[in-house]
Amino acid sequence: MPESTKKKKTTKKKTSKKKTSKKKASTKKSLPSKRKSGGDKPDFFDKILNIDRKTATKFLIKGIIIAIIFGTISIVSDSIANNATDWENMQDERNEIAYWTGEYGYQQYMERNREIDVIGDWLRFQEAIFANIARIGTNVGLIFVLIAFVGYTADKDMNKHMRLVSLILAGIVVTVIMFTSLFTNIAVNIA
Amino acid sequence: MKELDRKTQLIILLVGVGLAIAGPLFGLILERRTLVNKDEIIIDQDSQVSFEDVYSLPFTLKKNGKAIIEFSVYYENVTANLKIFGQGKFDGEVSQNGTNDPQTENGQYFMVTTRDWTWGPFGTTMRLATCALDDYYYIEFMGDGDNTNRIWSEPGDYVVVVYGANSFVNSTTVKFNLKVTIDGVGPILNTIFSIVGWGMMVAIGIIYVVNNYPQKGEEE
Repeated sequence: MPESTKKKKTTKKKTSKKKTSKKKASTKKSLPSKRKSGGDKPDFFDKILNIDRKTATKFLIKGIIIAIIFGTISIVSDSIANNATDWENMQDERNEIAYWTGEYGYQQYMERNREIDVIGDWLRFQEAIFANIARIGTNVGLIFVLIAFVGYTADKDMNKHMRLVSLILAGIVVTVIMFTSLFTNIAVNIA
Repeated sequence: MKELDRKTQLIILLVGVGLAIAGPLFGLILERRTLVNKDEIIIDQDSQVSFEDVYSLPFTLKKNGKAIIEFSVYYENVTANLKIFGQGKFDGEVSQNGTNDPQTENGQYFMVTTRDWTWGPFGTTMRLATCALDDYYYIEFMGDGDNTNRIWSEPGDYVVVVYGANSFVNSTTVKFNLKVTIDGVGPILNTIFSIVGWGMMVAIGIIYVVNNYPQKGEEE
Protein backbone atom coordinates (compact mmCIF):
# COMPACT_ATOMS: atom_id res chain seq x y z
CA MET A 1 0.00 0.00 0.00
CA PRO A 2 1.44 3.45 -0.92
CA GLU A 3 2.23 5.82 1.94
CA SER A 4 -0.07 8.57 0.67
CA THR A 5 -3.15 6.35 0.99
CA LYS A 6 -2.08 5.31 4.51
CA LYS A 7 -1.89 8.96 5.52
CA LYS A 8 -5.32 9.60 4.03
CA LYS A 9 -6.78 6.72 6.05
CA THR A 10 -5.26 7.96 9.29
CA THR A 11 -6.65 11.46 8.67
CA LYS A 12 -10.10 9.92 7.98
CA LYS A 13 -9.95 8.04 11.28
CA LYS A 14 -9.04 11.25 13.08
CA THR A 15 -11.96 13.12 11.51
CA SER A 16 -14.38 10.32 12.36
CA LYS A 17 -13.15 10.36 15.98
CA LYS A 18 -13.74 14.09 16.06
CA LYS A 19 -17.26 13.55 14.71
CA THR A 20 -18.10 10.95 17.35
CA SER A 21 -16.82 13.19 20.12
CA LYS A 22 -19.01 15.97 18.73
CA LYS A 23 -21.98 13.60 18.73
CA LYS A 24 -21.29 12.65 22.34
CA ALA A 25 -21.18 16.30 23.24
CA SER A 26 -24.50 16.94 21.53
CA THR A 27 -26.18 14.00 23.32
CA LYS A 28 -24.76 15.21 26.61
CA LYS A 29 -26.45 18.53 26.06
CA SER A 30 -29.86 16.91 25.52
CA LEU A 31 -29.57 14.72 28.62
CA PRO A 32 -31.00 15.88 31.96
CA SER A 33 -28.62 17.49 34.44
CA LYS A 34 -28.24 14.41 36.62
CA ARG A 35 -27.00 12.30 33.73
CA LYS A 36 -24.46 14.91 32.66
CA SER A 37 -22.67 14.67 35.98
CA GLY A 38 -21.06 11.35 35.06
CA GLY A 39 -21.32 8.55 37.65
CA ASP A 40 -24.79 9.53 38.99
CA LYS A 41 -27.60 7.17 38.07
CA PRO A 42 -30.45 8.62 35.99
CA ASP A 43 -33.59 9.16 38.04
CA PHE A 44 -36.81 7.22 37.56
CA PHE A 45 -38.48 9.74 35.26
CA ASP A 46 -35.42 9.99 33.00
CA LYS A 47 -35.52 6.24 32.69
CA ILE A 48 -39.17 6.38 31.63
CA LEU A 49 -38.51 9.07 29.02
CA ASN A 50 -35.50 7.24 27.63
CA ILE A 51 -36.91 3.73 27.38
CA ASP A 52 -36.58 2.21 23.96
CA ARG A 53 -39.50 0.88 21.97
CA LYS A 54 -38.86 -2.75 22.93
CA THR A 55 -38.85 -1.98 26.64
CA ALA A 56 -41.99 0.12 26.22
CA THR A 57 -43.73 -2.79 24.50
CA LYS A 58 -42.63 -5.09 27.34
CA PHE A 59 -44.15 -2.64 29.82
CA LEU A 60 -47.34 -2.58 27.77
CA ILE A 61 -47.66 -6.37 27.72
CA LYS A 62 -46.82 -6.72 31.42
CA GLY A 63 -49.30 -3.97 32.30
CA ILE A 64 -52.08 -5.56 30.28
CA ILE A 65 -51.44 -9.01 31.81
CA ILE A 66 -51.42 -7.57 35.36
CA ALA A 67 -54.60 -5.60 34.65
CA ILE A 68 -56.32 -8.68 33.19
CA ILE A 69 -55.35 -10.89 36.16
CA PHE A 70 -56.57 -8.40 38.77
CA GLY A 71 -59.61 -7.53 36.67
CA THR A 72 -60.51 -11.22 36.57
CA ILE A 73 -60.10 -11.45 40.35
CA SER A 74 -62.45 -8.50 40.71
CA ILE A 75 -65.05 -10.01 38.38
CA VAL A 76 -64.91 -13.41 40.12
CA SER A 77 -65.20 -11.76 43.53
CA ASP A 78 -68.19 -9.72 42.32
CA SER A 79 -69.86 -12.82 40.90
CA ILE A 80 -69.39 -14.73 44.17
CA ALA A 81 -70.88 -11.83 46.13
CA ASN A 82 -73.85 -11.57 43.74
CA ASN A 83 -74.58 -15.28 44.03
CA ALA A 84 -74.23 -15.39 47.83
CA THR A 85 -77.98 -15.11 48.38
CA ASP A 86 -78.69 -18.00 46.01
CA TRP A 87 -76.07 -20.06 47.83
CA GLU A 88 -77.74 -19.21 51.15
CA ASN A 89 -81.16 -20.24 49.83
CA MET A 90 -79.80 -23.57 48.63
CA GLN A 91 -78.02 -24.23 51.93
CA ASP A 92 -81.18 -23.33 53.87
CA GLU A 93 -83.12 -25.91 51.85
CA ARG A 94 -80.43 -28.52 52.45
CA ASN A 95 -80.47 -27.66 56.15
CA GLU A 96 -84.22 -28.20 56.35
CA ILE A 97 -83.98 -31.49 54.47
CA ALA A 98 -81.22 -32.67 56.83
CA TYR A 99 -83.43 -31.72 59.78
CA TRP A 100 -86.52 -33.47 58.43
CA THR A 101 -84.66 -36.61 57.46
CA GLY A 102 -83.36 -36.94 61.00
CA GLU A 103 -79.71 -36.10 60.42
CA TYR A 104 -79.89 -33.65 63.30
CA GLY A 105 -82.32 -31.92 65.62
CA TYR A 106 -83.85 -28.47 65.91
CA GLN A 107 -81.03 -26.91 67.92
CA GLN A 108 -78.45 -28.17 65.44
CA TYR A 109 -80.70 -26.91 62.63
CA MET A 110 -80.70 -23.43 64.16
CA GLU A 111 -76.94 -23.49 64.70
CA ARG A 112 -76.41 -24.50 61.06
CA ASN A 113 -78.80 -21.72 60.04
CA ARG A 114 -76.61 -19.15 61.79
CA GLU A 115 -73.47 -20.63 60.23
CA ILE A 116 -75.06 -20.28 56.78
CA ASP A 117 -75.88 -16.63 57.56
CA VAL A 118 -72.29 -15.92 58.59
CA ILE A 119 -70.81 -17.64 55.53
CA GLY A 120 -73.31 -15.80 53.31
CA ASP A 121 -72.29 -12.49 54.85
CA TRP A 122 -68.64 -13.38 54.33
CA LEU A 123 -69.28 -14.28 50.68
CA ARG A 124 -70.79 -10.82 50.24
CA PHE A 125 -68.14 -9.03 52.27
CA GLN A 126 -65.16 -10.65 50.54
CA GLU A 127 -65.90 -8.36 47.59
CA ALA A 128 -64.88 -5.35 49.66
CA ILE A 129 -61.48 -6.95 50.33
CA PHE A 130 -60.71 -8.60 47.01
CA ALA A 131 -62.17 -5.85 44.83
CA ASN A 132 -59.98 -3.29 46.60
CA ILE A 133 -56.90 -5.49 46.21
CA ALA A 134 -57.85 -5.98 42.55
CA ARG A 135 -58.27 -2.22 42.17
CA ILE A 136 -54.73 -1.61 43.45
CA GLY A 137 -53.39 -4.36 41.18
CA THR A 138 -55.24 -3.04 38.14
CA ASN A 139 -53.95 0.45 38.78
CA VAL A 140 -50.39 -0.89 38.98
CA GLY A 141 -50.98 -2.63 35.65
CA LEU A 142 -52.37 0.58 34.17
CA ILE A 143 -49.33 2.49 35.42
CA PHE A 144 -47.18 0.03 33.45
CA VAL A 145 -49.36 0.69 30.38
CA LEU A 146 -49.05 4.43 30.99
CA ILE A 147 -45.26 4.18 31.14
CA ALA A 148 -45.30 2.25 27.85
CA PHE A 149 -47.38 4.92 26.10
CA VAL A 150 -45.27 7.73 27.55
CA GLY A 151 -42.23 5.81 26.29
CA TYR A 152 -43.74 5.62 22.79
CA THR A 153 -44.58 9.32 22.90
CA ALA A 154 -41.01 10.25 23.87
CA ASP A 155 -39.52 8.07 21.13
CA LYS A 156 -38.35 10.54 18.44
CA ASP A 157 -37.81 7.76 15.91
CA MET A 158 -41.48 6.87 15.91
CA ASN A 159 -44.08 8.08 13.47
CA LYS A 160 -45.43 11.52 14.42
CA HIS A 161 -49.06 10.37 14.35
CA MET A 162 -48.32 7.27 16.37
CA ARG A 163 -46.65 9.43 19.01
CA LEU A 164 -49.73 11.63 19.14
CA VAL A 165 -52.00 8.59 19.45
CA SER A 166 -49.75 7.24 22.23
CA LEU A 167 -50.00 10.56 24.06
CA ILE A 168 -53.79 10.52 23.80
CA LEU A 169 -53.90 6.90 25.02
CA ALA A 170 -51.58 7.79 27.91
CA GLY A 171 -54.01 10.59 28.81
CA ILE A 172 -56.94 8.19 28.70
CA VAL A 173 -55.09 5.71 30.94
CA VAL A 174 -54.33 8.49 33.43
CA THR A 175 -58.02 9.46 33.43
CA VAL A 176 -59.05 5.86 34.09
CA ILE A 177 -56.53 5.57 36.94
CA MET A 178 -57.78 8.84 38.43
CA PHE A 179 -61.39 7.75 38.23
CA THR A 180 -60.76 4.33 39.79
CA SER A 181 -58.56 5.84 42.50
CA LEU A 182 -60.65 8.85 43.46
CA PHE A 183 -64.15 7.43 43.24
CA THR A 184 -65.20 4.56 45.47
CA ASN A 185 -68.01 2.53 44.07
CA ILE A 186 -67.29 -0.65 46.03
CA ALA A 187 -69.98 -0.93 48.65
CA VAL A 188 -71.27 -4.04 50.39
CA ASN A 189 -74.67 -4.16 52.05
CA ILE A 190 -75.08 -6.82 54.69
CA ALA A 191 -78.64 -7.12 55.89
CA MET B 1 -27.97 -26.13 57.23
CA LYS B 2 -28.11 -29.63 55.79
CA GLU B 3 -30.37 -29.86 52.74
CA LEU B 4 -33.17 -32.42 52.65
CA ASP B 5 -32.69 -35.10 50.03
CA ARG B 6 -35.37 -35.94 47.48
CA LYS B 7 -36.53 -39.07 49.30
CA THR B 8 -37.09 -37.24 52.59
CA GLN B 9 -38.92 -34.46 50.76
CA LEU B 10 -41.18 -37.00 49.08
CA ILE B 11 -41.92 -38.75 52.39
CA ILE B 12 -42.80 -35.44 54.08
CA LEU B 13 -45.01 -34.52 51.12
CA LEU B 14 -46.84 -37.85 51.24
CA VAL B 15 -47.31 -37.63 55.02
CA GLY B 16 -48.67 -34.10 54.56
CA VAL B 17 -51.14 -35.25 51.89
CA GLY B 18 -52.14 -38.18 54.11
CA LEU B 19 -52.80 -35.93 57.10
CA ALA B 20 -54.75 -33.44 54.98
CA ILE B 21 -56.99 -36.28 53.77
CA ALA B 22 -57.20 -38.01 57.16
CA GLY B 23 -58.23 -34.79 58.96
CA PRO B 24 -61.73 -34.47 57.50
CA LEU B 25 -62.20 -38.27 57.66
CA PHE B 26 -61.37 -38.40 61.37
CA GLY B 27 -63.47 -35.29 61.83
CA LEU B 28 -66.48 -37.06 60.39
CA ILE B 29 -65.95 -40.45 62.06
CA LEU B 30 -65.13 -39.10 65.53
CA GLU B 31 -67.53 -36.14 65.43
CA ARG B 32 -69.60 -37.64 68.24
CA ARG B 33 -68.68 -39.98 71.08
CA THR B 34 -71.24 -42.62 72.02
CA LEU B 35 -71.68 -43.06 75.76
CA VAL B 36 -74.41 -45.65 75.53
CA ASN B 37 -76.33 -47.29 72.70
CA LYS B 38 -78.40 -50.02 74.19
CA ASP B 39 -81.77 -51.66 73.68
CA GLU B 40 -83.74 -53.23 76.54
CA ILE B 41 -82.15 -51.52 79.50
CA ILE B 42 -83.97 -52.94 82.50
CA ILE B 43 -84.74 -51.18 85.78
CA ASP B 44 -87.32 -51.78 88.48
CA GLN B 45 -90.38 -49.65 89.02
CA ASP B 46 -89.04 -48.80 92.47
CA SER B 47 -87.06 -46.23 90.53
CA GLN B 48 -90.14 -44.02 90.68
CA VAL B 49 -89.69 -43.43 94.36
CA SER B 50 -85.98 -43.94 94.92
CA PHE B 51 -83.03 -42.14 93.38
CA GLU B 52 -80.87 -45.16 94.18
CA ASP B 53 -82.92 -47.38 91.85
CA VAL B 54 -83.01 -45.12 88.80
CA TYR B 55 -80.94 -45.67 85.68
CA SER B 56 -78.28 -42.96 85.66
CA LEU B 57 -75.65 -42.01 83.11
CA PRO B 58 -73.21 -39.21 84.01
CA PHE B 59 -71.59 -37.10 81.33
CA THR B 60 -69.71 -33.84 80.96
CA LEU B 61 -70.52 -30.97 78.63
CA LYS B 62 -67.91 -28.50 77.48
CA LYS B 63 -68.61 -24.94 76.34
CA ASN B 64 -71.18 -25.07 73.53
CA GLY B 65 -71.18 -28.86 73.92
CA LYS B 66 -74.29 -30.86 73.19
CA ALA B 67 -75.61 -34.23 74.29
CA ILE B 68 -77.95 -35.97 71.87
CA ILE B 69 -80.26 -38.50 73.44
CA GLU B 70 -82.52 -40.95 71.62
CA PHE B 71 -85.01 -42.42 74.04
CA SER B 72 -87.70 -44.98 73.18
CA VAL B 73 -89.91 -47.71 74.59
CA TYR B 74 -91.11 -50.64 72.51
CA TYR B 75 -92.53 -52.74 75.33
CA GLU B 76 -96.11 -53.12 76.45
CA ASN B 77 -97.33 -51.80 79.81
CA VAL B 78 -94.11 -49.85 80.32
CA THR B 79 -93.97 -46.12 80.92
CA ALA B 80 -90.43 -44.75 81.19
CA ASN B 81 -89.55 -41.19 82.14
CA LEU B 82 -86.35 -39.34 81.36
CA LYS B 83 -84.96 -36.34 83.22
CA ILE B 84 -81.56 -34.68 83.24
CA PHE B 85 -80.14 -33.42 86.52
CA GLY B 86 -77.01 -31.54 87.35
CA GLN B 87 -74.40 -33.82 88.94
CA GLY B 88 -74.54 -31.88 92.23
CA LYS B 89 -78.29 -32.14 92.57
CA PHE B 90 -78.28 -35.82 91.64
CA ASP B 91 -75.56 -36.66 94.17
CA GLY B 92 -77.49 -34.75 96.82
CA GLU B 93 -80.69 -36.61 96.08
CA VAL B 94 -78.92 -39.99 96.17
CA SER B 95 -77.29 -39.19 99.51
CA GLN B 96 -80.60 -38.24 101.09
CA ASN B 97 -82.40 -41.16 99.44
CA GLY B 98 -86.08 -41.36 100.26
CA THR B 99 -86.51 -37.69 101.10
CA ASN B 100 -87.40 -36.76 97.50
CA ASP B 101 -88.31 -39.02 94.60
CA PRO B 102 -87.40 -38.58 90.92
CA GLN B 103 -91.01 -37.87 90.02
CA THR B 104 -91.26 -34.73 92.11
CA GLU B 105 -87.82 -33.25 91.41
CA ASN B 106 -87.43 -30.93 88.43
CA GLY B 107 -84.59 -31.54 86.00
CA GLN B 108 -82.90 -29.27 83.46
CA TYR B 109 -84.62 -28.16 80.27
CA PHE B 110 -83.83 -29.96 77.03
CA MET B 111 -85.01 -29.65 73.44
CA VAL B 112 -87.27 -32.25 71.88
CA THR B 113 -87.44 -32.29 68.09
CA THR B 114 -90.59 -33.28 66.24
CA ARG B 115 -89.98 -33.68 62.53
CA ASP B 116 -93.11 -32.61 60.75
CA TRP B 117 -92.76 -32.06 57.01
CA THR B 118 -96.01 -30.07 56.93
CA TRP B 119 -94.67 -27.28 59.09
CA GLY B 120 -91.31 -25.62 59.30
CA PRO B 121 -88.69 -27.01 61.69
CA PHE B 122 -89.47 -26.48 65.33
CA GLY B 123 -88.54 -27.89 68.71
CA THR B 124 -90.16 -27.95 72.15
CA THR B 125 -88.38 -27.57 75.45
CA MET B 126 -89.24 -30.04 78.21
CA ARG B 127 -87.96 -31.12 81.58
CA LEU B 128 -89.57 -34.54 81.43
CA ALA B 129 -89.86 -36.97 78.52
CA THR B 130 -92.48 -39.63 79.17
CA CYS B 131 -92.24 -42.60 76.87
CA ALA B 132 -94.99 -45.24 76.55
CA LEU B 133 -95.35 -48.00 73.98
CA ASP B 134 -93.69 -47.16 70.65
CA ASP B 135 -92.84 -43.60 71.65
CA TYR B 136 -89.57 -42.08 70.51
CA TYR B 137 -87.83 -38.88 71.59
CA TYR B 138 -84.94 -37.09 69.91
CA ILE B 139 -83.46 -34.87 72.61
CA GLU B 140 -80.76 -32.21 72.46
CA PHE B 141 -79.29 -31.02 75.74
CA MET B 142 -76.81 -28.20 76.24
CA GLY B 143 -77.03 -27.54 79.98
CA ASP B 144 -80.23 -25.59 80.48
CA GLY B 145 -83.07 -23.75 78.82
CA ASP B 146 -86.53 -22.39 79.60
CA ASN B 147 -90.14 -22.99 78.72
CA THR B 148 -90.04 -20.71 75.67
CA ASN B 149 -88.55 -23.38 73.38
CA ARG B 150 -84.93 -22.40 73.71
CA ILE B 151 -81.90 -24.01 75.26
CA TRP B 152 -78.42 -22.69 75.82
CA SER B 153 -74.97 -23.85 76.74
CA GLU B 154 -74.11 -24.33 80.39
CA PRO B 155 -70.94 -26.43 80.59
CA GLY B 156 -70.68 -28.85 83.48
CA ASP B 157 -71.41 -32.35 84.76
CA TYR B 158 -74.87 -33.78 84.27
CA VAL B 159 -76.71 -37.06 84.75
CA VAL B 160 -79.36 -38.65 82.53
CA VAL B 161 -81.91 -40.27 84.80
CA VAL B 162 -84.58 -42.77 83.72
CA TYR B 163 -87.31 -44.12 85.99
CA GLY B 164 -90.60 -45.75 85.20
CA ALA B 165 -93.49 -48.08 85.95
CA ASN B 166 -95.01 -51.24 84.62
CA SER B 167 -98.82 -51.36 84.60
CA PHE B 168 -98.94 -55.16 84.34
CA VAL B 169 -99.69 -56.65 87.75
CA ASN B 170 -97.24 -59.52 87.46
CA SER B 171 -94.25 -57.46 86.40
CA THR B 172 -92.27 -54.66 87.95
CA THR B 173 -89.59 -54.35 85.30
CA VAL B 174 -89.24 -51.26 83.15
CA LYS B 175 -87.53 -51.76 79.79
CA PHE B 176 -86.41 -48.94 77.52
CA ASN B 177 -83.91 -48.12 74.76
CA LEU B 178 -81.35 -45.38 75.12
CA LYS B 179 -78.63 -43.84 72.99
CA VAL B 180 -76.54 -40.96 74.30
CA THR B 181 -73.79 -39.22 72.35
CA ILE B 182 -71.69 -36.20 73.22
CA ASP B 183 -69.22 -34.12 71.20
CA GLY B 184 -66.20 -36.12 70.12
CA VAL B 185 -62.63 -35.20 69.32
CA GLY B 186 -63.27 -35.24 65.56
CA PRO B 187 -63.38 -31.48 64.94
CA ILE B 188 -60.17 -30.92 66.96
CA LEU B 189 -58.38 -33.74 65.12
CA ASN B 190 -59.64 -32.37 61.81
CA THR B 191 -58.22 -28.94 62.58
CA ILE B 192 -54.85 -30.25 63.84
CA PHE B 193 -54.38 -32.79 61.02
CA SER B 194 -55.40 -30.29 58.35
CA ILE B 195 -53.08 -27.54 59.64
CA VAL B 196 -50.12 -29.93 60.04
CA GLY B 197 -50.79 -31.66 56.68
CA TRP B 198 -51.17 -28.46 54.67
CA GLY B 199 -48.25 -26.91 56.57
CA MET B 200 -46.01 -29.82 55.57
CA MET B 201 -47.08 -29.53 51.93
CA VAL B 202 -46.43 -25.79 51.86
CA ALA B 203 -43.07 -26.22 53.62
CA ILE B 204 -41.96 -28.85 51.09
CA GLY B 205 -43.11 -26.56 48.28
CA ILE B 206 -41.00 -23.70 49.65
CA ILE B 207 -37.97 -25.99 50.16
CA TYR B 208 -38.34 -27.28 46.59
CA VAL B 209 -38.50 -23.77 45.14
CA VAL B 210 -35.54 -22.57 47.21
CA ASN B 211 -33.42 -25.59 46.21
CA ASN B 212 -34.27 -25.55 42.52
CA TYR B 213 -34.26 -21.87 41.67
CA PRO B 214 -30.77 -20.40 42.15
CA GLN B 215 -30.40 -16.88 43.40
CA LYS B 216 -28.78 -14.08 41.39
CA GLY B 217 -25.10 -14.73 40.80
CA GLU B 218 -25.49 -18.48 41.17
CA GLU B 219 -26.79 -19.12 37.66
CA GLU B 220 -23.44 -20.11 36.21
